[in-house]
Amino acid sequence: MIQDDFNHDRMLPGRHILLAGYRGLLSRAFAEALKKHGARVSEAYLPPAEDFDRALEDMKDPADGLIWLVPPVRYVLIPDAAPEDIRRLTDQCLLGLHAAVRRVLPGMREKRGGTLVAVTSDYALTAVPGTAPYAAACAAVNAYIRAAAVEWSRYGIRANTVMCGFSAADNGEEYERLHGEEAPDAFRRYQPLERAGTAEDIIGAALFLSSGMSDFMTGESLPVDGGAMIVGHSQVWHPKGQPAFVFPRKEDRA
Amino acid sequence: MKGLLENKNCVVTSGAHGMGYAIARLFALQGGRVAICGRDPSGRESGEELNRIRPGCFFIPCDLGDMDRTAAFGDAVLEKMGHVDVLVNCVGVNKREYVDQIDLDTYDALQNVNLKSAIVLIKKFVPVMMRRGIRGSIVNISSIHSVAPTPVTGAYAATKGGMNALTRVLAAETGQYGIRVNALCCGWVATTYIQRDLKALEGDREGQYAYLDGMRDSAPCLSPARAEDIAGHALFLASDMSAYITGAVLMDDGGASLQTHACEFPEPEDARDMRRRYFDTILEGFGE
Repeated sequence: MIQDDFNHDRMLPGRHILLAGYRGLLSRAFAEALKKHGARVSEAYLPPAEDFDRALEDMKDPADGLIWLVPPVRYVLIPDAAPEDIRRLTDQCLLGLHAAVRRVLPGMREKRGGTLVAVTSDYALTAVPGTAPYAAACAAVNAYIRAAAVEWSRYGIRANTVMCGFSAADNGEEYERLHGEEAPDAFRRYQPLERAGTAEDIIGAALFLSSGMSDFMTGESLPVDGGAMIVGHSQVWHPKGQPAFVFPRKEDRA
Repeated sequence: MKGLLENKNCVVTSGAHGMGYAIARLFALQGGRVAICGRDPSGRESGEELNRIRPGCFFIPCDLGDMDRTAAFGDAVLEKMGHVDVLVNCVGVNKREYVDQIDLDTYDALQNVNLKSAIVLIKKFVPVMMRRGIRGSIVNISSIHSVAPTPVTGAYAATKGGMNALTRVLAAETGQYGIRVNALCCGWVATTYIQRDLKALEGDREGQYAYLDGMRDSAPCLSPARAEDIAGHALFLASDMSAYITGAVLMDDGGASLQTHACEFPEPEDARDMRRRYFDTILEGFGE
């Protein structure tokens, strides 16, 4: 529960956080931010699986929190999605999460408290061409976290998800490949807040879920997507087409 | 140290008691100038307490079921503050009736308080935000009843379901102005009614524990929520910590709506002691 002397610049003093999953721009930003907020950070990334397994094994102290990062999306239509690519994605997103949760759970049970936070994607809930394998993997992570939330609630352990919309943190190249020079205009068409997400946006949500500020919230998925999910993603795959509905521009309002 | 809402002008409806007061108090502790309203003139004491925490806070008596008075409240706030950065629509009244027996006058009254008052205040504050380029935040307190139905709450559920829809549409309309709109669907929260029942058991700590234990299975999390828990979530949505979140209708129910059927939970051997320590935090919050 949030206290009267709550300090938003130092939200995790003395907490041991396991930061795990995909290593990229976002994980680096997370590690820095968690330390600034007073946390002690252990890190375990995959691939490769051997390094990940060793890092989990080498973790000495029980963790108070886990923050799990899925990889960024790679758009591929279903006929082009090879089974081994899907297996690799499932291993990375779900089996890796399972290993990390099994590693931290005994300590959290002992301490009668802890937080599990998975950073996934709003593709877990939306339907966009080219995302079937990735959406399935993210949805699996979301479902796993919901079940974990209910399963370990009586031990004071909470589990939630941060569903990211487009974030410049790890998706920049893919977005440029998809939209080319029309990338900035795409935001104005499909996101109320008209901008890409930043690492800070995602980290803010994860800090909230990892701290006492979010006590009593469990099994929830926070959409950190600039409102994209509420207006639909249909425009994304038709960068040169017309969106089905155009919101009145502020210049045109009476 | 600057608070998360340092120098922000905040409005919390029904902010004199219970959950609304917990939200208003936390906002004031985080540097916000908070205006609260409520029907009961005793809310003035709450306004004075908030002003002690953070000078500039105030209370205006207002019956949120009366749209003229609600509009007048909005005007009075703008006159004193100039503009609003954060609006929390926290009011909620309920009447237990089966849907096929709903008294339509009662339904209108619920609709006025729970939804229409929010629209009246949005009409007052949001155009000012737009004109002045204020990247404001609106937090609507909704209810688990809007998504997980309970018998005899149809009218209330309809108003809160309407609140959820309003949240999404307003978010879509105002995003280009940098204004964010989100909602929290609350489950069981230890406020007014629970406090009253616990007060009746004053001096009987075992009786108070038994009363709270009766809510044990209402959610996976230790239940009921404390008003301060909800306040923390409202602070997150009101502040720049959630700068990329809009149109979200979040379940704030300790996981209650996830449960589709009765099930056994793994429990620690000291579960009873854990619950009692948690209940103590609720009782301490009520001065018991």
